[in-house]
Amino acid sequence: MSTAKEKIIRLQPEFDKTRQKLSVARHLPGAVYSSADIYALEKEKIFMTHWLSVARVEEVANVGDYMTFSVMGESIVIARPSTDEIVVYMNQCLHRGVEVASGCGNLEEFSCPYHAWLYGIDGKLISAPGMKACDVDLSQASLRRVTSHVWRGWVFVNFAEEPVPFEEFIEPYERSLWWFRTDECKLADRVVIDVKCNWKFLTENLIDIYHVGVIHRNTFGGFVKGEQLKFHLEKDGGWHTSYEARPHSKSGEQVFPTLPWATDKPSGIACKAGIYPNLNLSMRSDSIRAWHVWPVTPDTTRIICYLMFPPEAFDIPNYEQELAKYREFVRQIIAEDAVMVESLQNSAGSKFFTPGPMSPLEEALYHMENHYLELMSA
Amino acid sequence: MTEQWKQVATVDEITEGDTLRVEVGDQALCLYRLDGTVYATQDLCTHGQASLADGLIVDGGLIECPLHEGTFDIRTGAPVGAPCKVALSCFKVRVEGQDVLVAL
Repeated sequence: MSTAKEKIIRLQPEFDKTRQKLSVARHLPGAVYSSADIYALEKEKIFMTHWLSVARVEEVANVGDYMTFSVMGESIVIARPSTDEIVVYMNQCLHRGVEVASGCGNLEEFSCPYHAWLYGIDGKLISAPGMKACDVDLSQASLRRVTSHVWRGWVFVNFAEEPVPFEEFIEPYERSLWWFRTDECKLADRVVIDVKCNWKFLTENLIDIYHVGVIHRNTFGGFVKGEQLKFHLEKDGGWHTSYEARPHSKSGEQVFPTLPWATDKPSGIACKAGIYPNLNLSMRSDSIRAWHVWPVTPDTTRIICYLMFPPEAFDIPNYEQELAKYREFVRQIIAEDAVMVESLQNSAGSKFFTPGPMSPLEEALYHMENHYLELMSA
Repeated sequence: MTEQWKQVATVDEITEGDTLRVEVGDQALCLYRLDGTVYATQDLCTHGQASLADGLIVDGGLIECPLHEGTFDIRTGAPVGAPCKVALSCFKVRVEGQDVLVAL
């Protein structure tokens, strides 16, 4: 049995404390945020089995566009070989596994930098020089496809052999996220922020409304009425909620035009949702954000936050200036959180730390932490 | 259009069934000898960064690029085997005594 599985077994008595009812439950033990073995097991049990959003369709808008991405070291290519088709495949040459594509761009072919094996942008092997004498039939060879599905403009992938059908996975969100109309939005920006903590501290932080009034009082903290927030918990660690806040800007004033599907709602509307394992979706009356939280190492994480607007927003006067302000606002929010989550990371490895109890405001964290235990203990 | 004939090689430098890379100013050409006749095309493959002179003459009259093993017709420059798609520029060749001349 692997060291990680042994650790999971030994931690069960601590996990049981998280499994208690919310009013007496404890947060997860530090080991799950600091152990390299458990991190590796999370890749196997969570990231290699779940549907994951890896790109926006605008990032491969034209025929011939491609981009590369890595999910915990698994290098993939996302490409558009024809007008209505987006494909995802492993970025591993069929010869010895070298990454054939790098960065992003528009090409007809990839020539592997090692031995010049040539692939079409659809991943099909076009030619393998020097292999004429080889008796292995390469005529149908193709870079290994990864199952993918486009939903509301997001490219989702699933690395599992037999993934759960996408429709089944997305059902709660298809049903309840009336506000997440990103199929009617365009990508305004993609903000990348690196934080020195375990990925779970960030997915938990992004829904920890409990801290908002304290940490974010200089940005949006003054505007959220946290106590009135009610979480709707969905299967598989998912959740969503709707509450009253203000538009996501320094002044709290609305900057961009109201989302067409929210014109009949109060201007202070705020909606959030969590799609397990690493997606946090957020809406205000004039904007949508999709936070993607990517594990990089046990104690470092990359956040990619996509800023989305309906097309009208791009036409406002001073759009670039306003976008710049908004982008800085988003960075500032994470900067405010970073000090805290990096401090959590520090304690996670300490033998002196015992997890404390939870507030009712932490209901969504409780839901996610328990779902995590289900996945990891299986 | 006036042609400029330039001497680029001598006949004994190009063996039957073989190639020769020559540089003329800032251009590189590839010379070939097929059934006694000398031909000339651009040396840089139109598909990738490779010298066609480093390739093999195959199937009677094709030059196979060493990089991805695509082929062009030596006599016409036409792309034949994948992944070649764009034709090579061809140059007229004249042999005078020991001299091989190319029209530029």
